Amino acid sequence: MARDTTLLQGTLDLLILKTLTLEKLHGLGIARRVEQITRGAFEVKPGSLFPALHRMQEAGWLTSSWGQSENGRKARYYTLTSAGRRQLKAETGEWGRVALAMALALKA
Amino acid sequence: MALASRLVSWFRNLFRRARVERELDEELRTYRDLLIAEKIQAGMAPDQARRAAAMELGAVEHIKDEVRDVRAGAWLRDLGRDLAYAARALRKRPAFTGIATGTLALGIGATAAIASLAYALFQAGLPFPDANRLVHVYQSHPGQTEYFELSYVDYRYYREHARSFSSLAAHYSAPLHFVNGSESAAIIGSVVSPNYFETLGLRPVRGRFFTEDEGRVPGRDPVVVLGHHFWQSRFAGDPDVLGRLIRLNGASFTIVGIAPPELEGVAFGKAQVSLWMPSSMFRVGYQYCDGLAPGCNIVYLIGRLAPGVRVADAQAELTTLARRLEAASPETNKGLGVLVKPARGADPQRQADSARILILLGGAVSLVLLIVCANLAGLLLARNLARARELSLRLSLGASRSRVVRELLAESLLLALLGGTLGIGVALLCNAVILTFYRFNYAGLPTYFNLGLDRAVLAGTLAVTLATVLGFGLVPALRASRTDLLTTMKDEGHSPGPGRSRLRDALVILQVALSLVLVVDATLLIRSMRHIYRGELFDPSHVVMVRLRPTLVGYDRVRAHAFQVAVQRRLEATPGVIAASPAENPAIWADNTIHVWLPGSAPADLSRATRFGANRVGPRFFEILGVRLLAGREFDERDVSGAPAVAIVNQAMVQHYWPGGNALGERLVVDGVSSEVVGIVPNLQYREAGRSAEPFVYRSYWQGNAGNGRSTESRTHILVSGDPRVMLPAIRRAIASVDPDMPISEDQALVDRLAFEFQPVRVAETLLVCFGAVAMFLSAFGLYGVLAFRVTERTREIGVRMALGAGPGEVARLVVRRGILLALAGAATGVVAALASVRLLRSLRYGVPGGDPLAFASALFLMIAVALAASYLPARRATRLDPLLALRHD
Repeated sequence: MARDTTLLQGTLDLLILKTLTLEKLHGLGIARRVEQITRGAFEVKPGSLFPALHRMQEAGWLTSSWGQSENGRKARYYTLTSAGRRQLKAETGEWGRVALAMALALKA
Repeated sequence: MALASRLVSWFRNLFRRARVERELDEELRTYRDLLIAEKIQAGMAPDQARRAAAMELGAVEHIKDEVRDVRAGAWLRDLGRDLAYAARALRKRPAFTGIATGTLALGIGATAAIASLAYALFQAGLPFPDANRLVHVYQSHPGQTEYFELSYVDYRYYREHARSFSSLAAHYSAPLHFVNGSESAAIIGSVVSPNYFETLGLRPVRGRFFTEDEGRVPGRDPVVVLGHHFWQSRFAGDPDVLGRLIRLNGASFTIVGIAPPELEGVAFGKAQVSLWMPSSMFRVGYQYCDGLAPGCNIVYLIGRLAPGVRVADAQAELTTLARRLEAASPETNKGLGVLVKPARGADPQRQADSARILILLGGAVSLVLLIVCANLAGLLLARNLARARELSLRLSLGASRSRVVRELLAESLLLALLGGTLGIGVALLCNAVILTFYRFNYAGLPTYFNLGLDRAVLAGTLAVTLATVLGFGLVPALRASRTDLLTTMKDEGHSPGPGRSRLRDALVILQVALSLVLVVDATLLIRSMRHIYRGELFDPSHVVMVRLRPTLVGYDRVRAHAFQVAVQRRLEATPGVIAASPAENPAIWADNTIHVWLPGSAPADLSRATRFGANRVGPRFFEILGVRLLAGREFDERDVSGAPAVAIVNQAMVQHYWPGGNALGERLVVDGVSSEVVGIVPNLQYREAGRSAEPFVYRSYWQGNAGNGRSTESRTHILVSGDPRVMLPAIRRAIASVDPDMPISEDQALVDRLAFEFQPVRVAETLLVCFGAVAMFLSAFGLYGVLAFRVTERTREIGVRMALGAGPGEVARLVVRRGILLALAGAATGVVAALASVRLLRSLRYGVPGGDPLAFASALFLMIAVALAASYLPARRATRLDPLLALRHD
């Protein structure tokens, strides 16, 4: 795993929103899914994960509820709200523009 | 939607905190459990899995802190907690807290007081409805910068033709002799156009104001409206006072109304107005010309601007009208213009006179504030240094840096708040002192002057202080929080490194330097004031001065002359009085000038002729002032009108006209009258240090100009054998025995009059002495702090020295030498700054050179004494150290 990769500002939010589009997940599940979909490029530490989850929840993008994990343990699950979906769409578009601009700039 | 969810979060975070916290705990626990389960599933042993999970999770408290920080309303909750924490921390260190808040309070209080004075003099509006629409209108004379009065006739013209005002009123302040039954007093009344009250937007408390008709027929309407304060003090607020008769300058008036308490006149800083009469009654208050006639310029105007009209618009319109007036009546209005000024602060003349002293006071108070800041910075620096270890420990245990910084900030905030509250008290105290200078005018009459802590001033001062405290609280806090953990813990907290010590030393040197500046300036002003009280080559200490105006009660020249002669005789027959002499002006004035030239060199154009200071004085005038004539004689009984004209000149005039020669017996044309010089006196007029004396000429009171009514008025100078203030009642009785209706005003000891004439010096002296004392105290404290800190810092070293045989004297010298060195470094810097600062005092220095060695020497001496005093306690503590304990000191 590339442990030194620092997450760009706002990237973590985008990744968390993305992982929650398919199903609700608990904290560890989100962390593992991010690692999985970025092929291990990003490691999400609890110290950044939890503040982000709480912040996004207060912004109304996520809701949470207690539930049972796959191995029968209690866990807090996060679900994307419709505001969260709108946010994801907006940020995805923004990210695309930034990525394109950066790519062009570096090629020039 | 987002807003709603935020509001819900706020509510939960603030009021359901316990539950929110529980859930966070729970979530982190389940996260760890899941992590462990994951590791076991991956094939780890349970023990190993638990350890690995703990490693991966990291510091749980730290995570919780981070989560708490992102929560909505976090800052509010944190603020409360930080303030409570700060309050506890401050309570635990009462000495630090007391000194820091005390220091702050002095700084805030002094600054707010000076700012209040500046606000009152330059900015404060009149206390009437919509007062920001009120403007004063003055007359301007060609080539002169003063603000003059207009004639009532011109006022009527402006009022009729100007469209800029919704209302325009005229007012004149009249000196009145008030008699009610057996009671009498000198008061100031105001003769006003009938629309005066309406212009100001006021309603009577009782009765009525004036009708438009009462301004028309001269002498027909003897009615007055009493001021609220006057009604309370002279009539005990009697509600049945309406319809009653009082006597003013010998005429009867009917009381028709009571003005509201906020009305004390419209000229802020001038005499408080006790009552008002309509403009038809000008003659009662003014005798020199007919107030209703053209060319009799005695009224000021106050107007209310019409909606949408700006001051500049009104100025433009009135200027056009003034041109028209000039064209219509060139004989009275040639070259006259108008000046429209917003009714803010004191009258413009006073503003011009006060500007310089306020710059000085502002500068002085800035120095005090700077010293306060330096002191505070030193205090906070020392305090945060002492806490560096605690902070490092907390940081290493996972407290976030922002948390620690916030706590330190909260402490600063709390200090500022405490200091600010106390500062308001100090400011009120300062204001009370400042008010004593402005509450009475030159004649000893109460003035319309108040000094409130304006909301804007207060807010401004608090903001500045808050910025100061935060600046000086935050910077040290940031430095402290960045302290490297290992070094701090290893250092065992007693070796702050040379950088910190140097900074603290520099702060102390700065304080000493600034204090020295203030002390030097204060000393110069003390010496200046003492010179003023001692007199410029004369002795004012046993002289009483009384102003007598027989014309106010209708005396003609012959009667007035007889009255003045009788008063002089009666006074000189009074026990305790040595001599009495009428004079046209106070002995101390130099601003009354007349034409003077040598015979045969009469100027072609009188307006270009030389003018010199002049006064008309009676016999024994110089004896009363304790002046020995350099040559010749005083005026005496021979020098009356009809006798040959005589003059007495001062030394400067001798040098001007007869340099090196003898002036006695020479002739001089004074105000067109050829006079023989019969006496020569020293230069008696006060002058700012560095200025040379101006020529001055005295004429006999009984000769002089016979033209206007003023020449029968007098400022009678009376030499008494005891305390002049004690003699005042006897003197008043002696004058009243000649004519009980005679208005007596400005009756006071000459030294008290001097205090008014040199008010700027006195204000500056008093405040600078206060500031200097505060500065001195603060820098002594700063010095003490640094030295005490050094002794603690070097305890082990001192112990070693003592163990090696150093005696207490040697140890004490170590500390004291440091103190003296710091003080000297500060004093050296201060002397340079002080030399620059004395230029600001130029207009306030009388008889004291700017580089006065005594002022500098005494300031230096004081500084060294303070340094010694500040070194005493730390030195004593150093000598009392037990070498054994000191060596074990960590």
